[in-house]
Amino acid sequence: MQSLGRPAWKFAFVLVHDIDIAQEIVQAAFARAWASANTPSAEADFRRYLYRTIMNLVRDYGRQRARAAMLPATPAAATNPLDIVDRRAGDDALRAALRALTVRERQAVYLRYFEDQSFAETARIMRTPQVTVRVIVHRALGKLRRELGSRTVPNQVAM
Amino acid sequence: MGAQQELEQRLRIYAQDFDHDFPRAASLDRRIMARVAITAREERRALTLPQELALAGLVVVAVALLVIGIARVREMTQPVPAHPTPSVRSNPVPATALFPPSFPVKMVTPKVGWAASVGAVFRTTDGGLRWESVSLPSLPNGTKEGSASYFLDRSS
Repeated sequence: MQSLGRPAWKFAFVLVHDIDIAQEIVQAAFARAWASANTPSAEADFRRYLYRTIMNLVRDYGRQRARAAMLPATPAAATNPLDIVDRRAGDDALRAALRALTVRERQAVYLRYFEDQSFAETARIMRTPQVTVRVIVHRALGKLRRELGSRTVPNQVAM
Repeated sequence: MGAQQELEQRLRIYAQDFDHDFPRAASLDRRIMARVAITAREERRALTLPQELALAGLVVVAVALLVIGIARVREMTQPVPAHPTPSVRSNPVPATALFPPSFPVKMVTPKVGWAASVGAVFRTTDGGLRWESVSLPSLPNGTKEGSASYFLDRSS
């Protein structure tokens, strides 16, 4: 758990863009892994299982948020925790472009470039054929290029 | 450097900055441990009685089907003698003639065959187990005797 907690937290954060929600999701994922009788014990298998659980929880969270969006609007938080953490990393333009990707594209890009996983391992975690993962990453990079190309020069200088 | 490699390089640099600035996990680890501590662990579920009975039923049906299948296959693959030897049954067989083994026999199919003796013709439809006497029309010279026998097909 010591070695997986932070990467799992970062993974969840990239998907939900909220550090507290991400932490909550990671806690729930570990709790599920602990509770389930089918949790694999080998480290690599456990990591994949944990990441898949996080992806499922993120999907559930997205559905809850979509339902909540249909309710009367509540006042936004004064400060978004994302701003505190995410803005520390430079390259505002890239950060904004990453946020424009779909969740599935962010999953693939995170695993491939943030965790430096191979396409094969990324495919195993996402339970998707490797060729599909390559397509998702390729499409995501295309989106990022277009997004970055459309941004103004001062944003790009920030990197 | 192509645009693709440049973007990938930029992503990796961003990832390093992101990792550097992301909070340490000490508090997270404590929270995870606390959450896990209050989570009940699911036992591996044993089969209930109805599930066990259903499983046993399935096994019985599968074995029965296997036995029946093997029996069918053996029945189908049992060789049929090309020229079955007529046999004489010890029990009285109605409408069945005893068949001396010296008669000439012609099996036109594996089941249907003809045999001829002096003044009588016999026909079998079960591979030679039973032979029935077939009445012959009178020959032109008024006798039913013939010195040679030829059989053409299943009916004649």
